Amino acid sequence: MSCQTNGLIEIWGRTLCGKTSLLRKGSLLILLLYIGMAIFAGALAPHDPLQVDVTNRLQPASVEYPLGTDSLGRCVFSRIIHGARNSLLSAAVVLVVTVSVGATIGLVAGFFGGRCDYLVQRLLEGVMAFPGLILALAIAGVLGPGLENAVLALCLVHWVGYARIVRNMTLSLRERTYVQASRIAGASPFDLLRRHILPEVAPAVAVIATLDYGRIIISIAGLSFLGLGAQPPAPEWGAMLSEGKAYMQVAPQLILWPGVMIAGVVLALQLLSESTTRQP
Amino acid sequence: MQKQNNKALWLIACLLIGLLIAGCGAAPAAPPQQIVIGENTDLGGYDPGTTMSPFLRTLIFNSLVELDADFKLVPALAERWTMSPDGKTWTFTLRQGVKFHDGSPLTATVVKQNLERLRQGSGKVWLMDVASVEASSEYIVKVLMNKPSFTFASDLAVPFLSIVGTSGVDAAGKVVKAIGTGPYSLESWQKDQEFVLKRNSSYWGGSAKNEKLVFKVIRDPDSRAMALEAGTVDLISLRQSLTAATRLGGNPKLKMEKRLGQTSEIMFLNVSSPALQDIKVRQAIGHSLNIAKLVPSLLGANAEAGKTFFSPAYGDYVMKSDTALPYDPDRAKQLLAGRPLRLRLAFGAKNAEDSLLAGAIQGELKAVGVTAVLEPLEDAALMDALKKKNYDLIMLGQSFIPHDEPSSHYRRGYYHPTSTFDVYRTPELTVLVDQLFATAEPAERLRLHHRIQETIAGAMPVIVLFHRNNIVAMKQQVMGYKVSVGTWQLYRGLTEAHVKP
Repeated sequence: MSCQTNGLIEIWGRTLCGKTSLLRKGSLLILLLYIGMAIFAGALAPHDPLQVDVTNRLQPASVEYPLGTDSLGRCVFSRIIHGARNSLLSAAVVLVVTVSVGATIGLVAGFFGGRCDYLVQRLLEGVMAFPGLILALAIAGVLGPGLENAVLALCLVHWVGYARIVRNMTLSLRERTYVQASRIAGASPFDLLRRHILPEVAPAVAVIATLDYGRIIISIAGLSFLGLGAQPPAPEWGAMLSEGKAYMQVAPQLILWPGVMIAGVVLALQLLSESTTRQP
Repeated sequence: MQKQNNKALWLIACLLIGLLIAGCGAAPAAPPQQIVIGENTDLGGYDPGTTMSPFLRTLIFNSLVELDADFKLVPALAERWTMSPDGKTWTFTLRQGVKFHDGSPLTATVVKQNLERLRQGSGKVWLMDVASVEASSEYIVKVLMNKPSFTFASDLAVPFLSIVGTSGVDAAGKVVKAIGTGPYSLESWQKDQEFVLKRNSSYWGGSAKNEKLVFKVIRDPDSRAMALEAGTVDLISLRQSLTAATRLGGNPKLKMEKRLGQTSEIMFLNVSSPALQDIKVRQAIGHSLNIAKLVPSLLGANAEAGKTFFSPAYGDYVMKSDTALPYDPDRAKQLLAGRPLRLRLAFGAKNAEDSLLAGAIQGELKAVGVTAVLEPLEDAALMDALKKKNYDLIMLGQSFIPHDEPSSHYRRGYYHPTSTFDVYRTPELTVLVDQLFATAEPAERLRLHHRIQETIAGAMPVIVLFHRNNIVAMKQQVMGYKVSVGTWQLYRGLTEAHVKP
């Protein structure tokens, strides 16, 4: 077992058991609820989230429809639950891709330096010159609307942040005495990266990624809200907000619940990440 | 020091007394008679042929012939007109004493210049049969046609063929000022915020009741409704608003006027797409949509379920039998015979009504085993898709019928080899349309209209989704406003309306 995984386990382990703040436990609980909802969506939802029934539209909350029905008579509760799957999963894909791509590029650039670093630096500056979401909007616009394209667009934009942080950390870490000693002892660059640098970088990246997950969820919801992400009739919180906007006055529940869901998950992630940074 | 202070106090006291006297002296100025309208489109520009909002054209400008609130052809700048028996010479006698907003008189020369300018530019589609225009005397305009044209007066009634004063047009033929003959002239315009129209006191049709019309541009339909509830505007149109009618309906301070309009929303089925080539498939789609249930429950007061080829507002021109196929999902399944079908449904992303309806149509099609992929498109992309036939199903407003006689819909619009868009063309249909354009006798023309509609409807290249209601909400104090049948004549009623103090 490498030190990298140990680092991650330590952070999450500290959170789960150990002496932790109530805040951290609470936020973790909320997060687990969301994840549970996404996994067991099929079993939890009382109705088919795509079932249109125009005679039953814009109904208030009832036993049959716990959160009422939307403009096409679909069950809002079922759509919220299925929406968790869309939102959380697509954001997770973006996160995994950007962290792995960004970290790899950052490690290589920081460790080897020279021309390779120079090229990576210019590339990063090029991408970072544009505001992230605007660039993602442009890319998603060119690729055409669709959740896959929104994910791809966010991946293309998001990796630079990780690359930059990891590169900077690597740059200082590789000059440390123990790294130098290991190098003189004959360790290969791959070994150095794996055994000495990555384990130092990983915890910091994990904290940033936790915080970033929330941001990605918002970005995906934002793209869907603008019609570039999830396409109707797919249930997705951002798209649901956008669909419910026209009915704000007559059926406020249509924008209330997707909004609460987005705010809840982002807040939980924010608090979790913050408490992790504060508590040693 | 003390003395100085006293002096200053005296001075202020004198000033205040002076102000009081001055205030008493002036008679309290009567508030200007005006109506404030919450409008969803900006004025756009000065040219009634292109840039100006179609809803504003009829307030500032006039055409030779116009449509009144009941959608009937009435004389406007032309007092009367005659057609030669062969339909190739049209003579218009202009109204005398008509003045443009800049004071210049309306003469045959001005009309000739206008028609010549429009013929080269924005009015090309409507004036394509015109050979030449002659100003035969000060008030007589003769229009010579290339081929018999029996509906030319009706063609002239479209608001984009408005007559613009000479001083409003620059040397290159561009309209640079809104100089018309209409009941109102443009006083001020702040782009995307507000524009104000001032009464034209020398209007030939009698001065309007209001001194001013203030249009506030509020794009969001809900904000528009809220502005009316809050009292900052007097009147709004409920175009493109899904919930305002329900919401405002219960408000005792407001009233609503509704009238079946001329426009319909339609869905074209791409007859050349591989999936829809077979007429059975198109019929299956027709049978699978329960339009009579969908439209009232989704759009409420804003629309009537699509039944006939055109809006019933077109009267005798509309074929009486329904074009809508009866709702019968079993028959649809039978016609599809278990074929897996995946269709792209394009519609305007900004069109709230179509977006909602598209979702419902997707649900109805799913019930008979057809997968519909929704494609919300921007306006330009939607027109492009229509032009290039890059769609399976496409939802849009039925166009090319802005006047009372709908023949241009077939020829200029969609169903003729010379049409702007290629939707459905057959040699048989072409013959019928050509025949219609060559026929003068009214009864025979009506028969041909019905034949053409029957032929098109039989081949199912189009499903009429709904007929739009023109619907306006206003304060109880707004009196005398009459909603028009014509979509673009909607604000004409403002000339007769006034706000009870």
